[in-house]
Amino acid sequence: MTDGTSKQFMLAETRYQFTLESEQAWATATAGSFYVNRVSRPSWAGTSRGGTFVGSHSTTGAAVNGINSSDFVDTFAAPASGCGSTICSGEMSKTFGSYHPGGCNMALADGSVQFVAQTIDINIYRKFGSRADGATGSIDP
Amino acid sequence: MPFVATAASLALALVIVPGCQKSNGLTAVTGKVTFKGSPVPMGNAYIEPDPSQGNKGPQCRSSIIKGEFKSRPEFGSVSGPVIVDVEGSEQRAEKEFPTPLFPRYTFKTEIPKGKATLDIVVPEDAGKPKPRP
Repeated sequence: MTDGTSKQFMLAETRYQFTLESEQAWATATAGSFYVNRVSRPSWAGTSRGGTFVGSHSTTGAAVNGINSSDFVDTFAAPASGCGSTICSGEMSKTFGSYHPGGCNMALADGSVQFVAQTIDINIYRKFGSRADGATGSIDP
Repeated sequence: MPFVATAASLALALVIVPGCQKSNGLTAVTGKVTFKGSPVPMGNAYIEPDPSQGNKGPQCRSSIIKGEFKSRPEFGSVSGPVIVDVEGSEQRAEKEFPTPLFPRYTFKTEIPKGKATLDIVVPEDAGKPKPRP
């Protein structure tokens, strides 16, 4: 973990886990997969999940899209309304979020839990999803 | 009488303050998205600061519904140089996979401060639909 444990997300809240087959999750491990320089890369600590509706995911969560950025839950009556692979897996595996306004709690590899604002710079946020990209910057608002 | 005036202005202040939110400096963006002359039935529009131009800030992500998108109040776009990504799918019947109409289409543009309209015409040669997974 060359970026240092204080520069790495491990766990985060989500409100975008909805499948017919599996339980609703409050928090999932992990921000394992990462997305840096606009290229999606394999996960280092993802868990596998699959389902007939959602396709299969190599991770349960990744720091790709902005925190709370999806209006999916509000817009669609997921998953009954045609929760297809493009839509659902994108929401579930690429977006963290919470039901408290302004951001969500993220656990970092140093053991701390920090509230990260949804206004965080998207590219700094993504770097905190990678363990060895020379992450700099701060998640403080 | 002065007391009444003070009380009245205080009441007025209490009414006004909640509507007087601090601006987060983000731009509200709305737009229409078309592909081959037709509205894109469903999808996502992502507007992000272009880091190669030194721009920073959050991602603005909006659902495309029946060819239109509208950023939510707290999730506007940064102004300045941005990268836009568009995903579009056919509208599918319940419990079916939506088939992408084109691979994720990306382009760069500039977003002004305050309020913006960004109509997107996805080029016809944006590619063939990806196979269903």
